[in-house]
Amino acid sequence: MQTESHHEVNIDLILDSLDGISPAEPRPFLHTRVMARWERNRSNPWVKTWNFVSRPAVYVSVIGCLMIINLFTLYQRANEESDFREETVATSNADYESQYISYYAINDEQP
Amino acid sequence: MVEARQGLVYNTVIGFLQNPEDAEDVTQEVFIKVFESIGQFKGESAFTTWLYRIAVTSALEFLRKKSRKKRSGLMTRLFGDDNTPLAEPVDFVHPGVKLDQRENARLLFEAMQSLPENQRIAFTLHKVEGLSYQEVAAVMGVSVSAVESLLHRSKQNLKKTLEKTMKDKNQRNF
Repeated sequence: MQTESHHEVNIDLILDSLDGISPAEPRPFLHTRVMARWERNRSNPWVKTWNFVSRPAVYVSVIGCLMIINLFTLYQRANEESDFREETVATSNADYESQYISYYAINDEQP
Repeated sequence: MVEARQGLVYNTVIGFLQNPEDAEDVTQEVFIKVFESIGQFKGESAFTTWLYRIAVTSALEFLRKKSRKKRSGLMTRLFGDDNTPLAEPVDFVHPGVKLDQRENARLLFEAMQSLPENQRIAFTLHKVEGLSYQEVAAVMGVSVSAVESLLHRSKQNLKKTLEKTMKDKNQRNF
């Protein structure tokens, strides 16, 4: 029982151990190192390209263009298919009509 | 701008990464991201809030990358001959902690690593960076009551983790 309450006190002390903490400071001349890295990044063509491509406006536009091209291609294919179907129906009808000789035509009768 | 805000960014990042070298590397990255995207800052929130967001996101991204590397390191160790240690040393002590609190703070930082991401963000910003509930809420983009709830849950989880640590420690000593 005593050990448990001792544990609880300990845990509360641990939880409060960051009270009054002072901020950590980086090593001196961080500014110089940041500027050097920034210059290095700016002169690297891969980083430049990546920075351009990773802009939301650029990648959203590229995805949008791809989707439009896809939809356009699908629409065109659907149109071509329906044209082909109509053409096929027309051709087969014409073939059927030219091949079909009705009973009435043979006997020269009116239906 | 770097001179004025470097402490803020570094202190936030070190609270998450618990490693001074990694924290400096990520701090540099944060400022480069800020330079590159300063045009996107529309002033909808305070500049400091925006900076905190970038710092937190960058620190968490770094941790995710590191854990992915650790997982691939495990595979290398299972199937290859890489002898690098997998476990990170967890004896980090924040340089701003008072001398008499160092051991307790070390245990707390170790326990913080097991918190879920949102609870960890809220706890670190409030306890290490000393932000108020309102400021934490602004950085996280949630309500103040949500921050209160996150902090309450984080304390509960930390208590559980610390209890387990203490029990294990006592068993080892016994």
